[in-house]
Amino acid sequence: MTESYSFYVTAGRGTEIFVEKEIREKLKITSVFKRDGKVFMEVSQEKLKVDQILALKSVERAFIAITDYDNQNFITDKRTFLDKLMNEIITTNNFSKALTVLKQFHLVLTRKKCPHQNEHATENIQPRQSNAESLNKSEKIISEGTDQCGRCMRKREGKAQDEPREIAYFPLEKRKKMESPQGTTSVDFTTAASIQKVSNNGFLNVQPSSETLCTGINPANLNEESRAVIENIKSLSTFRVSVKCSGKVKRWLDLKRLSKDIGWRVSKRTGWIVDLQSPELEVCVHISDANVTAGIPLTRFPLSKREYLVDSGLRAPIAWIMCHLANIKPGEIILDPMCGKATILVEACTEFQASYIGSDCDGDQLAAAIQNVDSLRLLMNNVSLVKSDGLDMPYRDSCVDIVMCDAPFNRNHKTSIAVDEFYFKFIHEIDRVLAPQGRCVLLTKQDLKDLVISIVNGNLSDDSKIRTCRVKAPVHLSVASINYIKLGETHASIIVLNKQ
Amino acid sequence: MKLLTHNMLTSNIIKGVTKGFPLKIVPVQVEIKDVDYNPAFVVRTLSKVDWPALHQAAVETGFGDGLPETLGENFQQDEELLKKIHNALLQVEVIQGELVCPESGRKFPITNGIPNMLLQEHEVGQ
Repeated sequence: MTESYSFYVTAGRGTEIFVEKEIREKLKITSVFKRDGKVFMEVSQEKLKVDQILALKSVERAFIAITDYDNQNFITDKRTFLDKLMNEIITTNNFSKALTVLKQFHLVLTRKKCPHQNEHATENIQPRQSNAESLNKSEKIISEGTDQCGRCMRKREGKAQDEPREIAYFPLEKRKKMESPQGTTSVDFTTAASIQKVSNNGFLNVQPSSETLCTGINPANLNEESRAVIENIKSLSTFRVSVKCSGKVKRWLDLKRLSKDIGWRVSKRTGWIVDLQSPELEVCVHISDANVTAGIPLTRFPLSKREYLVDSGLRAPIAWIMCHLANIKPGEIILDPMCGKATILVEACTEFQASYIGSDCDGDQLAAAIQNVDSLRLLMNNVSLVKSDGLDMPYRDSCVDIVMCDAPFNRNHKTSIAVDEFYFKFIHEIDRVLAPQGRCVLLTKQDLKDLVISIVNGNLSDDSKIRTCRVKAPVHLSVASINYIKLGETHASIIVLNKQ
Repeated sequence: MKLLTHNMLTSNIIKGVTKGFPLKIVPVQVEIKDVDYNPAFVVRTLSKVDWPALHQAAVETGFGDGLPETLGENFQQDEELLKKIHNALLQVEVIQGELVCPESGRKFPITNGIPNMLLQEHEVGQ
C-alpha cells in the first residue's frame, strides 16, 4: 500500500465550496472534504505535487496535517480534553512524515515565495542552543552585528545594503501584541528569567512577521561550505507552537500554558527544538468545540498573499472566486467600474487572457492600482485604467462582456447618494454597458443583496426612496446565483447576474 | 491608455452630448508596450471593436499605416494586417495627451496613461 499524506487549507467562510472545486479540478484528487473554514485532502505519494497545492488561488493558507479529530466527545471536562489532545500529539507519527514532505519540497516552497533566499538562509544559521544561551547569542547579534555566520553573513550584508535590515527590534510589549492577534498565542518557552533579561535590555530579536518563513535555500547561490552548514542546521529542526482557540473550551484554557505543554510534548516526540524567534516550522493547533486540528503550514506567507499584488484592497482569494464565477473567456472585455486598487482585474489577469478596463474616481486608489498593474509587467498584462465616475460610466452602450465589481458596502466606502438610489443607478448603468449575453459579478454586503435583487427584478417596494428614477426602463438582467461569503466579520454576497 | 480602451470611451455623459463617440485623440507622448501576439485573441477582441473609431485613433496616434478604412471580409487570413491591428489595438499606449469630445469640444486630459473622464457638477447630464 502506498503512503498517503493529509493536507488541509484554510478558507474564508462561505468560500469552502469554491476551494473544494478548485482542488478537485486542478489537483485531480477525489478524496476532498470541506468543513467550516477548512478543506481537507488526502494525497497519495505518487500524486503528491506540493507546488500544485501552493498554486491554489482560492485558499488562505495550506497545511500538512498532524492530527484532526472530533472534539465533541472530549469537551465534557478539561481533564478529558487535555488527555485526549496530549495523547494525540505524543502518539502521532505525522510529525516526521510532515518534515519529510517539507524537506523534499523545500526548494519548491521557497523559490516562489521569497526573493531574499540568501538573507533568510543565513539567518537560519544562527546557532540554536539551549534557550538561555541562544538568547545570549541574540543579544550578541544585536550588539555586535553579524559576525556570527562568517562568510554567509558577509554575503548577506552585501545584499542587505539596499534593503532595511531583516532583523527588526521591537519592545517586548509590541512583540507580544504582534504575535497574539485575537485569540492566537505563540508562547515563549524561555524561562521567565531570560525574558526578564531581554526586556531589561529593552529589545528582542524578532523578524518582522511578513519576512518570516523562508527556510529554503537556492543551492545555486551558495558555496559548498555554507550549504554544509545549512544542511547541518536543517537536521535539527526548530519550531514553535501557535494555538488558536474558539468556543466553550476557551474558558478553561490558559493558551500560553497550553502552547507550552504542547511544545514540550512535540519536542519530546520529535527531538525538534523550540525557537520562538525564527523557527523553521510552526505547529498550528486550532481548537473549537467541534474539532481539534493541528498542522504545519507549508509556507510562512499565506498563499493568499500574492507576489503581484503590492497593495491589495480586497482579499485575493475572494477576487479569484469572483473571476471564477464570471466565467471569463479568452478575448472578452471586462470592466470594473469602481476598481479601487484593481485587485479583481489583476487577479483575473494572471489566469484569464482577456482585456481589462478598470475605472475609479479616486486618484489615490488609482495610484495603488497602477502599482498593482505594473507588478504584472512580466506576465500577460492587459489592464487599462480610466479615471471616471462609477455611476456615470463614460463607456458606450453594450461594449463589455463582463462587469465585475466590489460594490460599496456603504460602510467604509460610503455612497455619495442614498444607497438605494446609488444601486438603482449602478445596476442600470451596468445593464447599459453590458453586451447581450454579458455577465455581471457583484460583491456586496449581505444586507444590500435584497435591494440588488429587487432592482434587477423590477419589484422595488413603494416606500423605496428612489421614485425619481423609476421612469427608467426595466433592466435586461436576471439573477443567476447568489453566493454567501464572510469577509472577516462582515457578511457579504457575491451576486451573479446574466444579461439576456 | 490603450486604443482598445479608447474604443469603449464616450463623452455622452456630458449634458447635451448625444453620441460623444469617437473621442479625438491629441497625443503628446505615445509608447509601445509589448503584449504577446495571439491572432485568435486579436480576432475575438475585434468583434467588440468599432473599426472606424479604431482606425481614426490609430491614425491620430501615428500608427494608422496599412490599416484599411473598412475592414474586409477576409482580414482574418491576413497575418500582416492582424499584426498591425494587434499593435494598434493592444500595444500602442497614449501616456500623455488629451481626448476631445467630438460634439462639445470638452477636453479630457490623459496623464500617466490614465484619461481623466471626471466631469464638473454643472456638466453632468441626467
